[in-house]
Amino acid sequence: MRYLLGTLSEEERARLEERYFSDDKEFEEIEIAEEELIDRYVRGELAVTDRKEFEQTIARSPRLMERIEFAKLFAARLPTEEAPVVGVVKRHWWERFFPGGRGSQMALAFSTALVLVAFAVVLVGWWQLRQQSRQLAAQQAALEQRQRELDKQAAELAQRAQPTPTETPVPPQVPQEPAPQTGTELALTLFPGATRSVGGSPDIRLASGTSVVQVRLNLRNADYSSYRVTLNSVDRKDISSTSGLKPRGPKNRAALTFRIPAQRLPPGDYYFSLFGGPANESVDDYHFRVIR
Amino acid sequence: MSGADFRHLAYNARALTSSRQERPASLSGTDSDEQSAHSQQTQRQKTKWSLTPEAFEKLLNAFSADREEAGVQYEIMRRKLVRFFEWRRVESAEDCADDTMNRVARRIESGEVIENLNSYFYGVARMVHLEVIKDQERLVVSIDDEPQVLRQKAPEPIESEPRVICFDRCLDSLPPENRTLIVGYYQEERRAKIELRQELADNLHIPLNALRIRAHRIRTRLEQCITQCMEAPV
Repeated sequence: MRYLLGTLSEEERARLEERYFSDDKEFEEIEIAEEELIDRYVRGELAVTDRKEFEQTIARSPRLMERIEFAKLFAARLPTEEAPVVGVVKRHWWERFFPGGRGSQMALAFSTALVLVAFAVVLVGWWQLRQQSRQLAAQQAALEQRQRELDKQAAELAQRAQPTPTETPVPPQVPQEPAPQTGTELALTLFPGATRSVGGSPDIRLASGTSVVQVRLNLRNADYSSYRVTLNSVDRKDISSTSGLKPRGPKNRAALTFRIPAQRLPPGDYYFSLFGGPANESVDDYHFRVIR
Repeated sequence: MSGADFRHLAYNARALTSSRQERPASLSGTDSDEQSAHSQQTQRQKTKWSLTPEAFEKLLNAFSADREEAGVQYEIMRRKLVRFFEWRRVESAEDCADDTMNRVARRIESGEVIENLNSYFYGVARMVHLEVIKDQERLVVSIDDEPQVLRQKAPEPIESEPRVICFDRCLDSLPPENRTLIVGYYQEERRAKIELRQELADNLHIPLNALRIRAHRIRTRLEQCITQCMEAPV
């Protein structure tokens, strides 16, 4: 362009001329540059100095003057021509979202890559969620199985604890050490003489899953070889009873242990009455409160 | 180049020899002719040399042994010479190009072996250019610094209406794919035009520069068609 405007140095100009004299493609490039310069001149897109320089060249060339006229005609007529679609490849519908040429292809490639990455991320996320869901389902199934087993166990225990019609007292339990609280059992350890007003009685909270209460009654003295225990509430005496309980442990720290179905202990204040020996002598009371 | 085109070329060459009387060409720039204080015109009148058919034949052979190819090369070189003088703001670029062509033909006829014809043409063209500049400087002094531009004969005004008619006619005569390309190429302005051209190149699956070249060639043919159309008798 600078060559055509006459603003190159003599040395630069000579180099360029040597090139286009020996290379037809180079020459065609300069002819194209001339054409584009003419178009810019006609459209008023040249700077003032460039315009003046170019006008110096135009003024000495009838051919360039003629080309200026052609360029004006092209500028006036061609844009008004309806661009035919012959030979132009129809664009795909998705290409409408990416106006432009090569840049649009790059944008499309980038967008496609982005969509693929997003899809991969979603896929991995979905797979991980699925795995977690499966794990949770397995854990829930295990818990439900465990629940069923415990329920079954509790039902068996409850059945064993239920007094038969002919056997009102609670059948003697096999003495055993108090078990720690589990999901279905609650350990209750009581000491003699404690009331709500004196010393305070313990409160036990029976959860909905608790099916059995394992009771340990600590004795002051193991003076009897066997004992009978009755469960009483404030409103009702002798809710249930069990007899033939043997004290276990050293005499000064002996204790009686037995189990009571939790369903027999609705919320309220209770106490166990302890009777000793064949004479059925009253020994002690053990107070406690049930909270649900 | 077709046979008809080549006949046109030969006719031009003959016309050139009949209308111009050339002085012997000099490449060294040290000949007594060039050192003379006389004007170029005076010298041309004084020493006469005509491009003979034999000299023209040898010139074509220097371009190529193949006559068709030689004709093509001759036309390209003449175009280069004309542009060279135009872009160096020489008046009568066509005459200077013919002058250069004749000087080279004369050298070849005289038996000079030219290794690089393109470079040789360039060297002769530079020499002619220097001579023209000297002539112009003398002429400026003689006519009291009259601006050169004013001496340029203004082109004859051309009626716009026939030009438009010829334009439409020539555009319609283009093959559909060329018409599509040239119309698409000149749609829009500035930024939008650049994007549209890129899109056009993409649709044709060619680089943008290839599109520029195609558009340039179509436009050149279109301009030639319009020129011929306007010269044709109504």
